[in-house]
Amino acid sequence: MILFILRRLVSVAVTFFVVSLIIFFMMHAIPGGPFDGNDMPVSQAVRDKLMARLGLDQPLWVQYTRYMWGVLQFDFGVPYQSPGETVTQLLSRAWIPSLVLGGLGVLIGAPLGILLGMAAALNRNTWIDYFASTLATLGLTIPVFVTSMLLILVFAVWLGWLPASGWGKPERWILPITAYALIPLATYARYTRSAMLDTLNKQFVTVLRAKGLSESRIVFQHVLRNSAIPLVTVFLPMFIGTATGSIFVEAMFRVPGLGAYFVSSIETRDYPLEMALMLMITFMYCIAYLLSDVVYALINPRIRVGGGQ
Amino acid sequence: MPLVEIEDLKVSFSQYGGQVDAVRGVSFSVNEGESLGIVGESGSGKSVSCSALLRLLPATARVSAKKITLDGIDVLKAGKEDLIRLRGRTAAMIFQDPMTAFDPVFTIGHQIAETIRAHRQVSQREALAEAEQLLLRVEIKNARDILGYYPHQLSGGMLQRAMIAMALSCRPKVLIADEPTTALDVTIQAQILQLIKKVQAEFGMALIMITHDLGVIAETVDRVLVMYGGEVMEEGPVQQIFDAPRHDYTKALLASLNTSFDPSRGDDTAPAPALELRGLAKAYRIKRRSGFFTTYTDFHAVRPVDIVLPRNSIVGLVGESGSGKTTTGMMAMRLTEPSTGQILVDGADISGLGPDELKSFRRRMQIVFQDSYSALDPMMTLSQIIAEPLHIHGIGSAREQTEKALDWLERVGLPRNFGSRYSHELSGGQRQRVAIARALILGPSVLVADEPTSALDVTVKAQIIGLLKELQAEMGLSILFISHDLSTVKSLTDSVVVMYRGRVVEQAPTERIFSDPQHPYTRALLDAIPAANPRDKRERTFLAAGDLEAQTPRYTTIQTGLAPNATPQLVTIAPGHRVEAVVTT
Amino acid sequence: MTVDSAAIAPKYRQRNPLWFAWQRFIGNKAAIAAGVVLAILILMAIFAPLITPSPPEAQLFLTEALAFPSAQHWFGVDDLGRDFYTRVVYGARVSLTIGFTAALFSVLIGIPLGALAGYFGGKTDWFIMRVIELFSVVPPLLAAMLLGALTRGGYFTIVLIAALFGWVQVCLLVRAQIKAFREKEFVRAAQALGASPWYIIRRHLIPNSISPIIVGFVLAIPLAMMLEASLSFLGIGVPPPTPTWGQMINEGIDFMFFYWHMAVFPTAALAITVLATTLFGDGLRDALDPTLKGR
Repeated sequence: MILFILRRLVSVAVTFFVVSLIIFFMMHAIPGGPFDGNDMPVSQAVRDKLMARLGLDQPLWVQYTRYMWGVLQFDFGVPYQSPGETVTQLLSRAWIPSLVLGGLGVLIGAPLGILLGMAAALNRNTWIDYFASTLATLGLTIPVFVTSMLLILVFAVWLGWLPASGWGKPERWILPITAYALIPLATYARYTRSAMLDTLNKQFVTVLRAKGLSESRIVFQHVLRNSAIPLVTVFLPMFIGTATGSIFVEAMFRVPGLGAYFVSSIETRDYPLEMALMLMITFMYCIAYLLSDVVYALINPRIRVGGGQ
Repeated sequence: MPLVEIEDLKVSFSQYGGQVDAVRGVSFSVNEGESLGIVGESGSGKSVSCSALLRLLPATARVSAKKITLDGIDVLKAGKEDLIRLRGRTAAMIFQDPMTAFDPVFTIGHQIAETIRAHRQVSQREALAEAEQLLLRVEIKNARDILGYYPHQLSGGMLQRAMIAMALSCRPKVLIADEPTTALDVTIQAQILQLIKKVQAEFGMALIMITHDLGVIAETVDRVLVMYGGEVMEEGPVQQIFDAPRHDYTKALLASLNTSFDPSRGDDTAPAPALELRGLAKAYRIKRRSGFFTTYTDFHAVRPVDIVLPRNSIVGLVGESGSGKTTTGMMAMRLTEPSTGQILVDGADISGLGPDELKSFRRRMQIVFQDSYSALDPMMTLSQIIAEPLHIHGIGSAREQTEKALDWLERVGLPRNFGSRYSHELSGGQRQRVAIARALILGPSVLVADEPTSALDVTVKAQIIGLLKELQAEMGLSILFISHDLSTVKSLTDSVVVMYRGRVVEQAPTERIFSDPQHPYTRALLDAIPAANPRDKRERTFLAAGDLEAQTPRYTTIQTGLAPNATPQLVTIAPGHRVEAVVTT
Repeated sequence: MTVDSAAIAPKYRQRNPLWFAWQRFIGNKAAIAAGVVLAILILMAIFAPLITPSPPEAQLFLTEALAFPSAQHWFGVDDLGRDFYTRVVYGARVSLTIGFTAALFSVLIGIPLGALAGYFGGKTDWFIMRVIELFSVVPPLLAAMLLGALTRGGYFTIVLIAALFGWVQVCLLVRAQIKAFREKEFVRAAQALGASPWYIIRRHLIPNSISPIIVGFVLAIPLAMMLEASLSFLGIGVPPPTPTWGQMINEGIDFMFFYWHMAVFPTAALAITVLATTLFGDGLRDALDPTLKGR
């Protein structure tokens, strides 16, 4: 098992560096630097000096090595847009709203989705099933900013129950968390339903019934445990949805989180910030991959114990 | 009062366009300690009837009956508590495929203990101890270890034993066995059947044996119910059914059990055999992970084999799954590339030919597969499928190709107007006919038939075998008949090659191998053939794999004219009869 | 030799497997409704000039800027004095054409790669799968945003970006299908007849892969539309004054408290279009491949 985790760690590290390399070179390959914009005209001499100070005149691979060396020591450089602080400081300020909203969204959405999916699978072709399927389709197809917009229109503009935007007071959190939660809810509702239906159709469920086990024991001990195996693999796509969604949710609700900085860093070609954000997201992905692999192996005896005969 | 009583049972399933009646008015009863066999082909409603007895049918099924009682309880009206008591305690069930019958994420021990604890108030420790005892009773030697194993770590035979142990765990009054041996290898099948009979006697249970195999019926039961199309055709004591069947369907079933054909004529004038395999072998590289490193080991699927297929004759290639018989057939067709060895067609070696040179040889040799579902392209009409060989080899115009395809459709016993149909509209037997037509339309001299009938129902199987034999005689074909079904091999083939773990262990003319088998594995195979009549049923002794090695025949140098050798080798002991043996001084 | 049991006439006659798929599709009411909605949307997009009162970029109603919906301006007027109904209808043009062209490109990249990976396996497969893995580690939308930002958007760029991330799905579907069918016995039978790989791919594997290709194509459309709307929403998609829904929604945020029509109509249009396309695609998938249902 330890060997398994180590092996996965190595492959995750490799993926991480390949991705960082691709992003780094892609970002630099496109013409235009941070001081080419029209809104901040600078003379050639000043530009050269600035470029030299930031190390942008060096060959790309030198820049990359220097940068990655820093990254290993949690030094992501200084953001061009607010040179008074380091990227690390800026991010450590920005990730709190993102984590609170996104985390609560997942924590609320995922269990609700699982419950809804279970209810749908166990009550096939009833109104619960149709309701769950409709909700799942809506949640998975309609972009987050559209649902956010609808939430704001209904609850803030028309009904006036809740504030539409901002950060700070808990009542301001309700709408963005709802918007966030819809993604894991829809994902888990859909996958739990299909995984449970898959398992319920397996031969061994009939055998369990024939053994005289009660229906609740069959569902909660056997079916759920077996369905959990494919569900673990869904964690990643759900995570993708939430992470990507944060940009739009934060833009819609004017939340000062990572998503907001992502957009501004792209617009201003703020390489250090942009790199740091992309690397951070990639890193979270790799961790998510690793975790889902390990959990998958832990709950699946076929991998944990290995082949016998 | 009978233990099981079913009167006028009707089951129907609602589907897309209406209802399918699976069971139409079936009645039967089983007394305590009695064993009843229900025989019929797939779709005859035999499994559905017994599932209805335990209310195991899916929600889409509509069940009605004048009476279904199990141990005095009305099954259709049984509440939750009654159902739990009925299932597992009054009646226990064994299923067809043990590989899918266990929950993959729990250990065997857990699953047996869970069954015990569902019906009795005992601690987990006591339940596990009891589970161990049960495993010992079904002749599992290392019972304690097996308790901690997961289903995927055990072989099918072991799992089926564990399944029987689990069924016995609550001392049921009736054991329902739903095709308990169909998914297993021949030798294992016989062992499981014998085990079921043994525990039935020991525990004094009634037995309901559901099967498509009359041999199983002859071996295990007292009374037989013959079902067809959801109805009971005939019922009676087992001896009477076998000796004096009254219904035509029963007669057809029995006839299919006792088919025999004239031996093939052979062709002594031919200079070379139709197909000859010389030292043909296949080894796969297996990746093995140990820590960070991967090592490769060779897995010998087939060790060097020599097989001769004479002109105008049928050679049977038998062995259990994993014996390498299918790989050998695939290599002969060059569908799997052999690792070493030669393939001689009419004396010409084709093992090294490139695709273009090979193409002309392809006309002389063809293959029919086991699974007729996937053997036909679902997007093509039957005439397109049968004409495909002509198309690939560019023979004739499109019109001539279709015309010839339709002729062949008739020749394999299907009407010409089937030409424009698609394969999903056909039954399994009909599809296999089409596959045969496609294989033979080019007029090959060699046909490799890879288990062509093992997925078919008994009566259909007999028809397909009949068709193959008829066409063989007409066309003077040489057939390599790969099968695990020894009764078919006995009736159809001229000589037999027995494979075991990638080696040929014995080969001889059919008559000789059935009358005088030499290798212990051949004997085990022959011994496992179920009786064709209840009169012939017998006790069997089974050999473990280690015993098989130990009992390898020994011959002296004087008998064989070979140098002494401790490793077993193929030794000729009579004309055409070779056996794997150790040569001693 | 008995023929009678072989000659039992089946209930239906000469039905191509696609006929059954069609029957299953007809039975799916949600998919039919979605198909009708989609058809109407496509017709509206094609005949946009005929059903709208003014060109989409003409600021003809500056005096009535931000007017609420009325009989004259069904969806009201926007802040720049343009008829909002016209803008939304023309938005369908952008959304749908980007959706269809991007899906087309996805399929064009995905089919050959999927067929190669599926048929030849081994190293080819390994390489293509590693490429796909890289694509799946970076969230498509984020990477698309990065690309969009770096290239400053534009109509054709968006199509390319959408195709760049859309082909993965098609490739996987085709690969899985080809892989499954390559092992089928009718393919082995064709090999045994001496058919070339090219013949087998053309005559057996491609016809049998039509289902995943169609499904992949249809399901790539809403993904591309979402991508375009998202990028336009962030201001790095199709640049103004071309009317796109994402852009309109973004502008709508600023006005939504007082001029709700600026937010509601583009939001509803985008939601309805994406939903209809997805439901239509899901229906097709369920009809063409019943075993994939609900995944």
